[in-house]
Amino acid sequence: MTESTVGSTDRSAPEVAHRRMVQKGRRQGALLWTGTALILLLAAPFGGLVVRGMPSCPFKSWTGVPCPTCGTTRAAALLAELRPFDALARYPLPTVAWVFFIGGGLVSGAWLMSGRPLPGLPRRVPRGIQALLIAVILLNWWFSWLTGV
Amino acid sequence: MTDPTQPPSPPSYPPPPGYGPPPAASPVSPMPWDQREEIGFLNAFAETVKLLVTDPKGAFGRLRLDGDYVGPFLFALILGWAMAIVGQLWGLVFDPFGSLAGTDLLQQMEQMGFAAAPTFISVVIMAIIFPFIFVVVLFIGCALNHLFLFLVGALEGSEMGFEGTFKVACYAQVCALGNFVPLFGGFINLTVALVLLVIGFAVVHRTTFVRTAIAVLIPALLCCACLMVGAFAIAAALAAGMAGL
Repeated sequence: MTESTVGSTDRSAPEVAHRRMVQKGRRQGALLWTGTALILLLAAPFGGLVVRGMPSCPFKSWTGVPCPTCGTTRAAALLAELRPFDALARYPLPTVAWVFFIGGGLVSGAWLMSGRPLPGLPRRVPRGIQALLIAVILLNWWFSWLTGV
Repeated sequence: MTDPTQPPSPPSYPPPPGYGPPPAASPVSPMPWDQREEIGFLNAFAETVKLLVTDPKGAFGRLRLDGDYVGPFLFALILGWAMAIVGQLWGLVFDPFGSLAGTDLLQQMEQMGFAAAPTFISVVIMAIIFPFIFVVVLFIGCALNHLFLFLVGALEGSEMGFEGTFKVACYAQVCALGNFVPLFGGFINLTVALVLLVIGFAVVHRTTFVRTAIAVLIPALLCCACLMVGAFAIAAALAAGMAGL
């Protein structure tokens, strides 16, 4: 057996090229995430204007029931006013989602600048986690319904 | 027959995504837009639009993992930007709510913020701020689509991952051509977008149409109707606010 086939860390040129291509895609994806987070942060002073200009939720207008994402814009506006605890108390899941989304974008930017290889997103979700995520979305919807969001 | 004198081969495990051997080269030609340096910018644009409109399944089958987000994004931005301006200009030319004057429906639409007719200044401001709003809406839309594809297990056989989701969402912006149709452009736009997303995700992530339809339609029905209306409302509110400064 040769060193190149067993117990070696050497990789073939196409495999190295493939990994570089994958990393290139992840860098561009991370850059996009960072850019989106920065645009949202820069647009934060317009939060009040956006909320005033927002139409009421069409789903709620037509059915009388809030949609699963009702409160997302208002959560963003409260976060823009630096009132995270108010946002969390009234619109828990949208607040967590915004913090994760904007925080993740900033972390991606920092990771990019560090020059370290970026991890990929998972493709498969364990059934337990899948059920948990769906349950969290449904619980938040139920909370919105109860509180009349 | 296996040779009994040879030791058994070790079991093979699939490598994690991005760390296995590169996939075999495909004989299918790439998307015309990816060949714009060879065939010319306008030609590549027109050929890509034609391919997406006439054979979406074949078009999405040409997408490959190449780490390029910029090209598809540029395609989507050109289409989305041009068609957003066209949509606003239709609003200037026609009075989209004129036939509803004095009706309860118009009053309801005004209360919901739908019946704001554009002005010339709001069209100009919309043209300036559109790319920034577009990148935010496109990326959040992709993230939501990817999350729901993940939740329904549509990514298990996927080789392209988020890059595939992003490219499909970008090329599906060809639906913005619906804005050429006055008054009903928005409806056509939305319907074509949903169809293209269902087809594109199924082809790119190598899964069934049923799964991608569930992943696309559930958030579209429950959440994204609000988000899409919200995106237009944000753009309109910002344009109106800036016009008043």
